[in-house]
Amino acid sequence: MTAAASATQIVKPRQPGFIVWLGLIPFFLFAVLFLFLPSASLFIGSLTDNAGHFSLVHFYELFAAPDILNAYWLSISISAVTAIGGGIFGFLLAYSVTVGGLPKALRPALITFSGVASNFAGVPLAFAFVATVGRTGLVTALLKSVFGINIYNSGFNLYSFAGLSVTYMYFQFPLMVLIMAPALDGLRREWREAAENLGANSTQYWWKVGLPILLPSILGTMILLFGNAFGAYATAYALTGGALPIITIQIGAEIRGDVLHNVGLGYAMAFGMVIIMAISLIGYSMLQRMTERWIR
Amino acid sequence: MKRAFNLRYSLRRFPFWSWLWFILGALYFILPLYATLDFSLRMKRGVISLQAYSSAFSDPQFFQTFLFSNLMALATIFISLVLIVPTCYWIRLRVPAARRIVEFITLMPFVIPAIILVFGLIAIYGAPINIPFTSINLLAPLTESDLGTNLLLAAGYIVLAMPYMYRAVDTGLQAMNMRALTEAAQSLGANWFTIMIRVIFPNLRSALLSGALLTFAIVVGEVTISSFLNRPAFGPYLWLLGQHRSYEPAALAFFSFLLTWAAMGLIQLVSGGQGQVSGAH
Amino acid sequence: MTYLSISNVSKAFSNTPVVSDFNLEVDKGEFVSFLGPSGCGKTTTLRMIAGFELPTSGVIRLENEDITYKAPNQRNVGMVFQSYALFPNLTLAQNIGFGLDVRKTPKDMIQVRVNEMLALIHLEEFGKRYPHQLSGGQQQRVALARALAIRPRVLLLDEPLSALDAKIRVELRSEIRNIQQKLGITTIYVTHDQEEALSISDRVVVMGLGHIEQVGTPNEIYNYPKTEFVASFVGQLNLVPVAVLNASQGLVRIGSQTVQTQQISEKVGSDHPSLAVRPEELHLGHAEDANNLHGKVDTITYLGAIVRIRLDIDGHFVSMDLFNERKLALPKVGEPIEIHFPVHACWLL
Repeated sequence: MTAAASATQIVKPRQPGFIVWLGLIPFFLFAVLFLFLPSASLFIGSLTDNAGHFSLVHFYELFAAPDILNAYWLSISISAVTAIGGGIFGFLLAYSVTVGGLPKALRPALITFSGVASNFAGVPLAFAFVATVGRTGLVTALLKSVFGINIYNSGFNLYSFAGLSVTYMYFQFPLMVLIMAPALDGLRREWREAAENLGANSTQYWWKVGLPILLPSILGTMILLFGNAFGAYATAYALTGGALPIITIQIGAEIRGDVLHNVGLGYAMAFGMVIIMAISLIGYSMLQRMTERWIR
Repeated sequence: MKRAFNLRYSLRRFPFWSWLWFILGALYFILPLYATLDFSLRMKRGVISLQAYSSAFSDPQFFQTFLFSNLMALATIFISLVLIVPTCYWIRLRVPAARRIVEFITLMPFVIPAIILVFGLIAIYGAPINIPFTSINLLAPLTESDLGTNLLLAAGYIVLAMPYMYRAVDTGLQAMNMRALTEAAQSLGANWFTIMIRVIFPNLRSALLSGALLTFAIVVGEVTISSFLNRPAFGPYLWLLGQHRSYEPAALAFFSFLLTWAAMGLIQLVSGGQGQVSGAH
Repeated sequence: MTYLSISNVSKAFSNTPVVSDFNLEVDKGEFVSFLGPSGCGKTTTLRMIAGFELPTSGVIRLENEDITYKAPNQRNVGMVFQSYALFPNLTLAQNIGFGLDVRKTPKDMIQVRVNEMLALIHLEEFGKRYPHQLSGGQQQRVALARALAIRPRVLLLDEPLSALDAKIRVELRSEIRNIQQKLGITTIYVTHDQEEALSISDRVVVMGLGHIEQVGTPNEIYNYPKTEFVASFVGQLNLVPVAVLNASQGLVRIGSQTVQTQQISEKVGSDHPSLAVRPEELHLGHAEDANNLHGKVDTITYLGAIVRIRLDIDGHFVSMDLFNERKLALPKVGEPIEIHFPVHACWLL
C-alpha cells in the first residue's frame, strides 16, 4: 500500500517528466543493441574506406559494378512483378469473399489459409514448388500426360525469374488478402446502396466511389508486397541455390565469404537495400494515413 | 411472371467472377500442398506409404534441430513478452508521447530484413567490443561461444517477431480497457509487479497467445539468421536435407505446413478474427 | 390520387416473417411516417420501396407503374440513410451532383442544380469541402440534398436523425419538413421517435412486429388509438385492470371506486379488461360531470416541464402529468389525494 502511495507521489500528474521514460529503457536498450547498432555498423562501414576514413568510395564502386547494379535491378523487377501481380490477384481474391457475394463460410477459410500460406515461406515453400512445377513435379507431369504440354520445353524453368515469381506469389497473395479484406469491409454497404439509389450501376459505383476509396489501401499494400519480396532471402536461396543473382543472394554470398574482397562494398550493398526498403516503408505509411482519413 | 422476375433477378446476381477468382486461388494454393504430400508418400516405389515420414522422423538430427528451434522459440517468446508487454503498457499508461518512436522501432524490422540484420549482427558482435577509442575489451565476440551465438540468434528472432508481437499486445491492451483496470487495482492497493502479473497478463491471454503462436511459426521456420550464425536450427537442417535427399524433405515440408496450419488455426480459435501474417523469409 | 401504393407486401428472411401483409396508399406530396420499435419491419418496408430488398409477395406501384422487382438504380427514388452514407472521396458538390453525373447530365447543368441544392440546405460556401470536415447535422443535410438533386419521385428517409444530438434533431426535422413542403415531394420517413413522427407527418403508420397497427393522422393516432399497442407505444398510457359493472352503460370498477366510460362493446377486453387513460388527462381535485377517484400519492418525479405524480388508487398505480409552474402546489408523498378526468378521456382495452 505504501509502495503504491509513494510511487504515485513521485510521479506528479502535472508534469510527467523525464522519469516515466525510464520505464522504457529495457525496450530502447534492446532496440539499440540489436537493431540500431547492427544497422549503424553497416551504415558506418559503408562510409569507411579501407584505411578507416570517411569516404563515399564504396558507393562509387557500387554504381560502377554492373553485377551489383544488375542484382539490384533483378531484385526490384521481381519485387515489382510480384507486388503488382500479387496485388491484383490478391485484391480480387479478397474482393470475392467480402463484397463479391460468395457464401459467407468461405471467408474465414480463406483468411485462415492466408495466414498459414503467408508463413509458409522459405525452405518448405521451395520444396513444395519443386514438387509441383519442378522437372518431375506433379503439375508438370499432369500437363504432359493429360494435355501433352511440356512446359519445360516451352521455356519455363522453375529455377528462373519466372519460377521464383510464381513461388513468391504464395506469400504475396495471402498478404494482400489479409490486408485488403478488412479494407474492403471498410467499404460501407450504404455507399453502394446510396450509389445505386442515385442511379449508378455496378461499374459506375466501383469507378467513382469504390476503387477511389480503396486506392490508397491497394497501392500501400502493393508497396508492402514490394518490400516483402525485396527482402526475401531463404525462399530464393532454397529454390535457386543462388543461381538467380538477386541482391539478397549477393549479400548472402558476401557474408559467407568476402567474395568481393571488399567488406565496405558489401556494407554499401546492404545499405542500398535498406534505403530502398525505407523508401517503400515511407510510401506505405503515407498511403496508410490517406486511407485512415476516409475509412474511419 | 413473378417467378420469372425473381429468377432473372437472382441470376443477374450470381457472382460468376468471384467464383472464378476464388477457384483459381484455391487451385494455386492447394496444388503445391497436394503435390508435396503426394511426393512425400511415394518413397517406396509404386506404393503409397509413410516411409518418408518415418525415415525423416527417425533421423536423430531432426529431433535435435527441431528441439533446438522449439526451445529457441520458447526463449524468444518469453523474452519478447517480458520486453514488450510492460513497455506497451507503460506507453499507454504514462508516456503516450513515446508511442510514435516505439511504433517506428517496431516498423524497423521491415526495413531491415533478416539477411541485413544478420549481416549487421555479425559485423558488430563477431568482433570484440571495446570501449571506443581504447583497447579495453568489454565483450568478447559473441559468435565465439555457443551461448553467445544463441543469444544473438534469440535477439535476431525477437527483432523479427517484434512488429507482430507488439501489434498483438497493443491491440490486446486496447481491447481490455487497461487504464480502468490499472486504476481499480491501484485503488485496491496493488503494486506494479502485482498489476502486471495478476491483472495485465491474464487479461491479455488471447492476444499473447496469438503473438506467441505467430512467433513460434516464425522461429521454427526461420532459415536466414540461423544458417548464417551456424546454429543447429530446424530451418538450416531442412535446407541441408534438401541437398541430399528428396522424399524426406518433402515429408518434412508437409509436416512443417501442418505445424504452421495448427499454429494459425489455434490463433484463429483464440482470437476469433482476422488472421496474422508474417511475410516472406 | 394515389401516387405510391403498397399492396399486400410481405417479406420473410429464411422463413422468419419480418413484414406481413403491408397495405398503404400514399398521395402525391404526402408526408408519411413509419413509426414503431426496433425490429418492427419499418426499415425493411422502406428498403423494399427503394429496391434493396425484394418482397416475398405483394406489389409496389409508383405512379401506376409496377416497380416491385425493378432494380434499385432505376426507380428514381431518393434515399437518405441513417449513417448519411456520403461518399468520403468526393466533395460535397460532387456528392450532391453524383446522381446527375451518373445520368450523364452536362456539367454546367449539374453545377446549377448543385448550387440550388446547396442554397436549399444553407451550405452555399461548403461545396468544396469533404464529408469528414463536416458535423453530423451538416452531413445529413448534404445527404438530403444529394437525394433531392435527382428530382426523385419519392423521398425515403431511414431514421435520418437517430445519430444526431437532441437539439439538432429538433432543428433538422423541421427543416426537412419545410423543404418537403416547399418541393411538394412525396415522402416516407422511418423513425422510432414518436415525437418526430407526430410533429412533422401528414399521416403516421404505426407498426409492430411486422404488421401495421394503425394508420392515421398524428391526432388520430394519439387521441384515438385503435389497439393497445398503439396506445401504449405512442405517448404515455395508464392501463388499470377493472371489473365491468354494466357494459351498456359503460360502468367499470377500479378497486372500490366506480368509473364512467363510453359504452363497452362485447368484444372489447373480455378476459382482462383494462381502463386506458393518458396521464395528461388527469387533474388534481374534484370536478362535477367527471370521473373522480381517491388515492394516495406514491412518488413525485420532476421532469422539468412536467411533474409526474404516481398515485396508488386502491392498490393500482396510475400516473398523472401536470405542467410545471413556479408556484405549483404539489401534494406530499403519502398524502391522500383526489383526482378527476373527463369521461371521454378514458376507454376500455
